[in-house]
Amino acid sequence: MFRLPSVTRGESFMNGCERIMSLIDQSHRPDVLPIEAEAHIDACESCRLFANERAALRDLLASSARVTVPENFDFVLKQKLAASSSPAAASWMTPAFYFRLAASAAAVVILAIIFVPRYFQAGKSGPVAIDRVEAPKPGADQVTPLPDIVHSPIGPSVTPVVLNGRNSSRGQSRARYTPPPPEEVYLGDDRTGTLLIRSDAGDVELPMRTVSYGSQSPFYGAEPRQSVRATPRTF
Amino acid sequence: MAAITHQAQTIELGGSRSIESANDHELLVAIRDGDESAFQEIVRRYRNPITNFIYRMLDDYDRSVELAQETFIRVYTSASRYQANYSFSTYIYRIATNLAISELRKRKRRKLVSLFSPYTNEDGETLEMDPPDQTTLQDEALIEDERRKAVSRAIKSLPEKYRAAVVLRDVEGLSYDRIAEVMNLSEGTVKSRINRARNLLKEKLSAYV
Repeated sequence: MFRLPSVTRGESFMNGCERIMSLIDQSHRPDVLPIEAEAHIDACESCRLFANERAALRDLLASSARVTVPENFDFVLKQKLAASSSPAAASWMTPAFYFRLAASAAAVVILAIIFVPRYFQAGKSGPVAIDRVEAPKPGADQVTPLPDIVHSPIGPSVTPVVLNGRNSSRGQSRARYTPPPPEEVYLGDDRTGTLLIRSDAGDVELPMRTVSYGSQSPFYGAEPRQSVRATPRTF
Repeated sequence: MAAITHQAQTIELGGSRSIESANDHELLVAIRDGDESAFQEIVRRYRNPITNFIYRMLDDYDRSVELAQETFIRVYTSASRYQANYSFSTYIYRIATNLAISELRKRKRRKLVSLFSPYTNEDGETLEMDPPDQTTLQDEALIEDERRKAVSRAIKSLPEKYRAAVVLRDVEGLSYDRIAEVMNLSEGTVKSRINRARNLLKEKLSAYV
């Protein structure tokens, strides 16, 4: 008669135990096992141990203290529900909305004041010169003259702007923005610009795709470019 | 669905059946029609189980209460979109599970450090801050308290995918097929996860089992 090798018989036994353990694990209640599992654990020590451990663990988890809601649960829920179901129209009618609206309107007015006269002037005197920025004149509130920024490598349709400053947080001089005379600053046709940052480490030119107006400064100091500071004015 | 609607109308119009005796589907239909008392009944039925479930997931009572309230808000606001394909308890546990898992992921990203988290002292030993409770406790209460903390710690240490499954099964007592519906997984995957979770818990709670 053909007999299975012992290893194969052992594997078969293990598979049988695994199946029983799976049945034990998946039983709805730990104390009520399928008949097949009950019969098996009577003869199998390891499966009986497994069943006991599983039952103890499940009892432990199930008996752990349950929390209940606080007494004001319903009250707070009603408040939250009322807040969440309030008309959506009211959500934007806030002081912050009106402040933003006023700021936007002010920005539009400033833009109009700056650009509308320039638009008519350009119409009278032909194309606007866009490759010329005069270096700031040495004066009471001026920084180092900047003779080398007049000719920007970016090309004729850029507007170099000078930012010269140091990180004041290290006890050095405060960052100073050297604004060019308004009539000398123009935007290129493609509305690009160049930001020149002068620092101890050398000059850096940053081509800017956009130039923004507004109350929020567009440049911020960030590692490792410590010399880039928030400018007092935007352009 | 028509039958459910009809029953809900019976609740509303005739009042022959009390709101307490209505089933969850009927209450949902009534909520959809603007019946606030039906919503109150749903809250009454599920507020403790849902809060307890989220608490077991997060181990943070205050946040659990907030998320339980958020669960009910979602039930209320999406009552019109509720489909009676599953039981309502499956539906509400699914919302709660998603909120709890989302909260766990947020915490993981923020790396929130609790005052009670393990910390390293001057000697380099990792200790857990456990401020003394000044109230007088009897021995049994002390043991029970310690066991409860051990269970909480053990559950909290589980990966979130195992945690939700084993809490739904062994703490909340949901069946495998219900858990599969709640977690949107196959039943086989749920069984596997629960088995792995129990094996992990057995190691951590060996002193108590």
